Amino acid sequence: MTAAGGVRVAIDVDVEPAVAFEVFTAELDAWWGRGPRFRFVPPHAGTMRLESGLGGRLLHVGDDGGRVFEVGRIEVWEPPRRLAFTWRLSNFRPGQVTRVEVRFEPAEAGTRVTVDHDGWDSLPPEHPARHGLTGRAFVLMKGGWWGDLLTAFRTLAETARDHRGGQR
Amino acid sequence: MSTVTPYLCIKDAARAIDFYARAFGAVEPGARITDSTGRIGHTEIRIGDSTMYIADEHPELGFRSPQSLGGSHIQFVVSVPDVDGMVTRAVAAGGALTRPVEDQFYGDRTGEITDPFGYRWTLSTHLRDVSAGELRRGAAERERQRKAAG
Repeated sequence: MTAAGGVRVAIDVDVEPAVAFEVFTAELDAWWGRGPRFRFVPPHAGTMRLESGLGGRLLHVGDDGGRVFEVGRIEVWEPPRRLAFTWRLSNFRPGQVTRVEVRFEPAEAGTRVTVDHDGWDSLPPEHPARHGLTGRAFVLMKGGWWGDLLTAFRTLAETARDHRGGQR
Repeated sequence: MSTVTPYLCIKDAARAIDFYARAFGAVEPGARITDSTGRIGHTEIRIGDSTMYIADEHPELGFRSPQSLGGSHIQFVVSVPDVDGMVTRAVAAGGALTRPVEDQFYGDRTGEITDPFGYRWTLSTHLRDVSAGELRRGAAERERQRKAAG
């Protein structure tokens, strides 16, 4: 279970945990969704970048070296098993912060990738990041968002495996 | 019209997904969304070429499972190549045999199990095509047997 108010999304990916971790972190921009739904600040273009290692930043870097938005910082860096980082949107006030933990566990199908996105109770119910949703509706909205991201991640990770010629 | 997808509401959906995997070879091809109390908010499974959505029951939304409602008005019919083997497998996985496997007058061989979560599944293998005349005679014969059985 995740912390109160949190959302968990899990997907099985047919690659080794080390490949999953590598693609998730080093190739983040290649699988991270594009456009207003997935990019953090206008004009919702640019590049997503995750700096490796403890204290590394998750950044949305605008094209032409424009605006750089820091989503959060890495709090847990344990390749190839675990990764956690803080998560703030541009409309969060000081003290409002959520946290994302990602685990890469060996599974029958290769790797089970589990994202826990917690800390939503640091936001008041009327915060725009909640889109007016509570309970299951909020879980499905946020879970569906991560589900779409993880599905794209899986496609890229399994393609990366094929291109590297690696077999499980 | 394109596709109709049943959405199963289940008490302990995670255990049910495990059961459907062992009983029917179901796979869970996408992402599973869970809330902070461990309830599955949404996932999908695939059995053969069919998709079903599954969630845990959410009584606060009026989304209740067969176990909470005292049964289900819906049942699923699954076409399988070997009904005897599939029923054996489903019972071994924990399903209750609610109708034994037998040949039907309409040319199918069927059996029914009820899963531990309250849904009924008819497993069916098509044995032969039946003419309209034979179908009528078979139906009449079954009706006679039913009346005789009271």
